[in-house]
Amino acid sequence: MNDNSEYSIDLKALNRERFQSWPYSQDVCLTCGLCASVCPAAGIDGYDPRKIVRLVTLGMESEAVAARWPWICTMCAKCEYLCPMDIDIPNLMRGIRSLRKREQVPGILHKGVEAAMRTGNNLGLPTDDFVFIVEDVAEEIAAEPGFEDFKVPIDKHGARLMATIHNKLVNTHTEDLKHWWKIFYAAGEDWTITSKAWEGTSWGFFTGDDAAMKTMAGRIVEQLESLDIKNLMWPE
Amino acid sequence: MNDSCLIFGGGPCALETARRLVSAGLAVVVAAPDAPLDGPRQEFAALAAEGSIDVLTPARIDACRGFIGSFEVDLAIDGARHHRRVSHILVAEEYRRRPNFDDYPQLSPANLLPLSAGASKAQMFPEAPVMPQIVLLHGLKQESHPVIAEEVLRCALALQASEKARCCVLTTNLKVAGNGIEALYREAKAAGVLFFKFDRSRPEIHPLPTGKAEIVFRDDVSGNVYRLAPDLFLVDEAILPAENLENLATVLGLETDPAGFLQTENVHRLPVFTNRRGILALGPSRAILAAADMSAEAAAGALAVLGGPLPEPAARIEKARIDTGRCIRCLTCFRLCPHGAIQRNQRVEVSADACEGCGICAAECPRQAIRLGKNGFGLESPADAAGHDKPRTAEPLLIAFCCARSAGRAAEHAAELGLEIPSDLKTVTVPCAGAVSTADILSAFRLGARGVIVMACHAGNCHSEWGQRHALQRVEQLTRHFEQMGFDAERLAFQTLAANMETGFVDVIRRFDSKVRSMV
Repeated sequence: MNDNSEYSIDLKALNRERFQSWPYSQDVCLTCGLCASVCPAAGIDGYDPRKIVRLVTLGMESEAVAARWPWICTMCAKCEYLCPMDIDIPNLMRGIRSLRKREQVPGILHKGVEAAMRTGNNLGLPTDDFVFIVEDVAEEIAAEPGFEDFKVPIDKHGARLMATIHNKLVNTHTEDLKHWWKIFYAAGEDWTITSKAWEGTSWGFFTGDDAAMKTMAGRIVEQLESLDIKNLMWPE
Repeated sequence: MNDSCLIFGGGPCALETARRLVSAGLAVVVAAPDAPLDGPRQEFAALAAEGSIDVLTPARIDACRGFIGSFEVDLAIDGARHHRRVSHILVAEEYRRRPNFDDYPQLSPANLLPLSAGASKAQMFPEAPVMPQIVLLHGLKQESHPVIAEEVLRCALALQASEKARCCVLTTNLKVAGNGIEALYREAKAAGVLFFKFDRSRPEIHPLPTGKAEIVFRDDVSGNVYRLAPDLFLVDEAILPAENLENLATVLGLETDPAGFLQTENVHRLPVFTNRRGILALGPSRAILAAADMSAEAAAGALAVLGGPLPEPAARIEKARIDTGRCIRCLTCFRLCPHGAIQRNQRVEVSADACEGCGICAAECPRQAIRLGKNGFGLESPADAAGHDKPRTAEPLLIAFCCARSAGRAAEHAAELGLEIPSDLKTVTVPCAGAVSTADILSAFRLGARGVIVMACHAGNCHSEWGQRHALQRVEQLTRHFEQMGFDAERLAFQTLAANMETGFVDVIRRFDSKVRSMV
């Protein structure tokens, strides 16, 4: 099986209590492998959900945090659905993500979070530009037959429903704004978007940054309160 | 008749059994091999206040004659011979536990303790290190058992929770099929016990120059190799039958399982019954059971003595009877009886109370001096063989000797379900396949059968322990004779079945039927 030259990890040196406070029940993992069998990302880089849970149970923080795999996880939650011990694997992945230094968060995700903290949206799009874009889209809708009097409500006080917006819909995919808006119009819904805290894509959620998540959610709630709106549609 | 019992054993199960029988008004004799008894002697003696109890120790059994209702037992106590006459014998001797130290020769006694050394850190470590690292080795070289798994889990949990130890359990299979063991496993994990399971690889243990030892192993789940030099290794134990059981089994004529417990792995051996009526194997003498089950065993034993619904009443069985005029006292029947129902007195006699009606003796008696109930199985004439109201036809005639407990039941179920069976099949139901003698098979052919099949219970599941084996041997012997004679040996077949295999029965018969039809 192994000769003395094979690298081995000293069990005594592992900090088995490191993740004891995590509430995801990972300590009762049976290593049955159902999660690994259903995971669409299993095998990439030689990892799967079961292996990550095992590393966490053993307290092997640095290996888990350094691995690319927790960031490849799509959060589809099939693993959690099948797990016979009800282990919250997606949130465990997120917990591992949260342990990385922010400079090591992959790609543009953390830069987007920083932009959102500064400006309220991941693109750093100024409010005037945002309003210009959405009103432009509204005009295009109004040009279609049957939608002649369409207007996009912005910051409408006392509306019944407030909707957030994915940043790509005011960047590269503005056409996709129209689907929801036409439905609201046809249904006679009393709705609005907001010029502040319009961003619905919370990358603090993706990157395990709870503080950022809280801030963004807090801003949306503030908008709801200041506009006296009771219902929120947050499609993210 | 059911007024006195002999109990072998001195532990909790024997004590509980004694208490129940004494309270029911029976005279109880307790014979334990060791002095003092495992359970406190006072507890047994205290039963004297409730009824008649006689405690003999250190006692060894020398001989046992007789049958249920009148066993004559000779005991040796401190060299002196004692005789007792009892209606029932109950064996409830406690386990022997053997630590599996031999599996780990690399470990010196300084490093390891057996599991039952307890879960107290103070006991284990005179100079206790803070948060000692402990490795529990469980079922690595041989299959484990839920009873041991439970002990391992309790020990690990106790050490982890109350003694602040760092425990790792290394195992191949963790057998959790027992009351509350899964919950215990979960609790142990939540308390921080680490479990490592091995499929193909096994841990390796290397002695260290310091006198301690290091264990190195691969964890397939994380893909890493780990090493650990723990402060202590705890080794699991094998649970074995008491030393005394081998002698008891021989003297009492009891069949044992491969481990030496007094009940075979036979579907017909319900708890607490053995192959001999009136002799019961309880708890630690019967199988590996959890401590929580022992009191149920004592209750079952007491119930069997006091007249519960089991076993099948002796009165309903067709008994063997020896024609003393023909008997030549060869003692073949005495040697063969799996139920110890034959006695060598002035005459060789079958006890009606102990006979289970298997017919093995009748089939083997060289003088055909033994009959089971009425004559034969009704194969006296061609008309009988063909069925009373059916004339012999040109179609092959099959005769199937069916053991009542397996093929017989399957045939009945097949008929109830309306399954189609070849029309010229005659089934002859026998109490056990062992009752079908060579002469019976030859008679069947002589009466015109074109094919004869003997159907028995599966090996290891014969109610009479080896009746199935006898039947098979006879068929094999006849097959060899047929081959030498130039008679088509494929006309004789043997098949094992279970009672719930009605479609299996039909399949076997159909295939045999078409094979026989294809012969000239």
